[in-house]
Amino acid sequence: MKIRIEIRYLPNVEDPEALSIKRNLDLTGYKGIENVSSYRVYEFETSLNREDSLKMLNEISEKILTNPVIQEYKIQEISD
Amino acid sequence: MYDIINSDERVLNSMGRDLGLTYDEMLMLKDYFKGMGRNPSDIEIQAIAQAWSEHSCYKSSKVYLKKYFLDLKSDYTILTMEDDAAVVSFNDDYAYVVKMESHNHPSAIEPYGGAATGVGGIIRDVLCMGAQPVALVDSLYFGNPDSNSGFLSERFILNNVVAGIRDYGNRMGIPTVSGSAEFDDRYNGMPLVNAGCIGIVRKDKVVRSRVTKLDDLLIVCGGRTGRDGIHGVNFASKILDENDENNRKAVQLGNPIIEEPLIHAVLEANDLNLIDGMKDLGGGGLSSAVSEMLYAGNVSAVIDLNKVLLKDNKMDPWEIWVSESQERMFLAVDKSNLDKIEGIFKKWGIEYSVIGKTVKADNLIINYNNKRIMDMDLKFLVSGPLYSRNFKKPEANMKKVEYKKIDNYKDFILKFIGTPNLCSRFNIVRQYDFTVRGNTVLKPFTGNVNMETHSDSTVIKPVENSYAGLCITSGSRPKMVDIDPYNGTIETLIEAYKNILCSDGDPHSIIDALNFGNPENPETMYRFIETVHAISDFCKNMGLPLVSGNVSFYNETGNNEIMPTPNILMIGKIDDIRNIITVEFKEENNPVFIVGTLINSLAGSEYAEYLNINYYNISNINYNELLNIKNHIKRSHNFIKAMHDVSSGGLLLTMLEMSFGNKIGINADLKNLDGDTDIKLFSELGTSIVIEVDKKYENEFINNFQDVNIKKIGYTVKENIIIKDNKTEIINEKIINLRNAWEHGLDKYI
Repeated sequence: MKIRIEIRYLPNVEDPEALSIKRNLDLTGYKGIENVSSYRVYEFETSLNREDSLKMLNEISEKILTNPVIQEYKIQEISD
Repeated sequence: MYDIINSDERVLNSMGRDLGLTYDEMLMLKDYFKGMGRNPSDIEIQAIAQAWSEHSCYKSSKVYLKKYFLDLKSDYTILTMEDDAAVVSFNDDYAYVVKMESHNHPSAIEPYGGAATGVGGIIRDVLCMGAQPVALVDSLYFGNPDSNSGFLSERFILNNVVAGIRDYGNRMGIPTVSGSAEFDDRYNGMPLVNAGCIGIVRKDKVVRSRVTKLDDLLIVCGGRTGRDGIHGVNFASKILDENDENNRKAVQLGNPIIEEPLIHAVLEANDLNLIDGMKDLGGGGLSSAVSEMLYAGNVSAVIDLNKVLLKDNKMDPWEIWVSESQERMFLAVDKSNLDKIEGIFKKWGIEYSVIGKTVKADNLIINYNNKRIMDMDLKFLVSGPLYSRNFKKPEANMKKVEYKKIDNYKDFILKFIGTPNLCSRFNIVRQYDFTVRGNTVLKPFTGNVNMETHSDSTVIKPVENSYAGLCITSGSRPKMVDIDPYNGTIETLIEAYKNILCSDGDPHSIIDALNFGNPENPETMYRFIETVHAISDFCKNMGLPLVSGNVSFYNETGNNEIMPTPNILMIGKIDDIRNIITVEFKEENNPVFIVGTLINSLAGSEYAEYLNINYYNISNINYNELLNIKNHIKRSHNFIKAMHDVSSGGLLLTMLEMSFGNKIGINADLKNLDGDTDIKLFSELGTSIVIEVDKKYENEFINNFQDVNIKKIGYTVKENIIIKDNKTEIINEKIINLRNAWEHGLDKYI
């Protein structure tokens, strides 16, 4: 099955990449942008059933892909 | 609002826990504010909590730092132990600026951001002396990379600390040239990240971390002030509890894209002599930087807190004052220069604001929304308490030494040299840009392409119109310090000294970063005192200045303290970088010598660790021998083809690493050395260095080394490594097979 994992910074953590993008857009004259956020997205394809896939990918998200101190993640199934 | 003056012991204790202050310290505050006839405001009490934390006022260490580290100067040191970084003469026109600091606690909670902001902070420490940062150094101590016991796995910590250093350093365009990485169970959950920076400055452009002029404008520039990093200082002065939600507020990721132009702007302003005093905003934020800079210059100030540029408009005034937001600098500027400074900041896109001006007074005054919220004696605020803590020599833990016989040296060696502490550092260091700026003359790796080996130290050429260079090396021998704090520290210093000698340098200055556990533990305090005593003795005996330092206590999780880890950054000078000698063997059939003393003990060695045997004896150093070796190497420069010191992994690793760089190996017989075979191969203690000598000058070389231990151990050969000890064959193997085992040791971790 196909699973999408979306990772983003927690609300009180500064997002340096997004800040740089916003700053440069301001400099290049794009007006009216209030805020930018950056996300990281992974797509996984597994040969496991739904329950086992979610269990494993939750663990991977928690242990390897994120640090819960600064990031949160969302897991979604993708239908083909 | 804290009602201190009417509180009893129970309430004071509980307030103190909140603020990271002890009951005795709360009593000092109660007395002070009783004298003032009022309670402290929130900002006053928070400012005191910052200023009196271990991290800011060194209350546990200062007594000993003063006792042992006073007067370790030299005729070429310009500023030592006074300002944010040390300034040391490089040549008639230029000085180098250097500093190393720990960023351990933030890196334990958020390894990427903790390590990155450690790099950002140390760059600003060097920048605030008016210097162009030219090189970065990182000594890292990780837990066992196979351990998953903490709330972050050790592998996660390793990968993210390295990524944080890589991303900050590389994006700043400053090369990360040197450092060390050590792995041990005793750093599980409590990694050490010691970041160092070297800068270069014209001597007439050095800026002090103080302001002495009245009516100067006080400017904050760079990043904005936010809620991030509030109470980082207090948190570095407490033991980590992984379940404490409060720890999580102190997280910062760092933004090099803000700091990079800040360097250009600050250096441009300094070049025009527009800056009277400058300090980096680090631990303790504005609170520490403003009060320390004013107090050092014997002036005070009136600050308007509304003028500080904020990320978040809902901050309380005390939060603005103690926030540790990154990428900020604090400047004192004559008001006639404000227009010019504004022009420079505008050109580089730097945000700034004037937050106050200097006045002649004893009290620091802060206004907010037209109300006076702080009016406090600077001396009382900055001085802080001092402790002479109890110390106790740990009970000697002398277990019987069990000698273990190695059945098959070849199998043992192939595994041993791939262990995390001995294997190649390629996986870590190749993530760092170590050649940006184009001044790295001797890189962290040396030898032929795809056949490189480790350099002993890195050499940079910091000034364009001079061939003089700086050698840089950094590391520690914590397992030896753990066994014998005094002699283990000396061994750490000897290794740094030998690294500089082997890269052709003259040892020039020493910078320490002392990482210890809880100073309220008398045995930890004993180890700390022994360590500073050893550094002091080494400096005096070797005629070297100690130029700057940093102390980090409370490095522990739960009941487990880290190993005592005095990290030493040593800088050497090279008169002409065009004649550097490197580690790898250069040609066949040259004689190979070992000079100096290899001490007959396996204490603190990787061998003892790997086989889980305890050895205890670390003997005293022979300073004269080390000085003689230095002089003889200098005299013998033209006879020497390659040099490498004996350190981690013993003489075995020294010979292997010399063979890994150039397809030239060694045929060695250790029969002339003293001790058992394993001691000859694996002892890491003492002053010994292995030297490949040009066969044409063998006799001249031997003559030069007559008054120190010198033994010929073999000669260089093509493609193979053959080592025996009299009749015992230790290894006879192609270089490439041994190098493969060494090269890939970290592959499964990073």
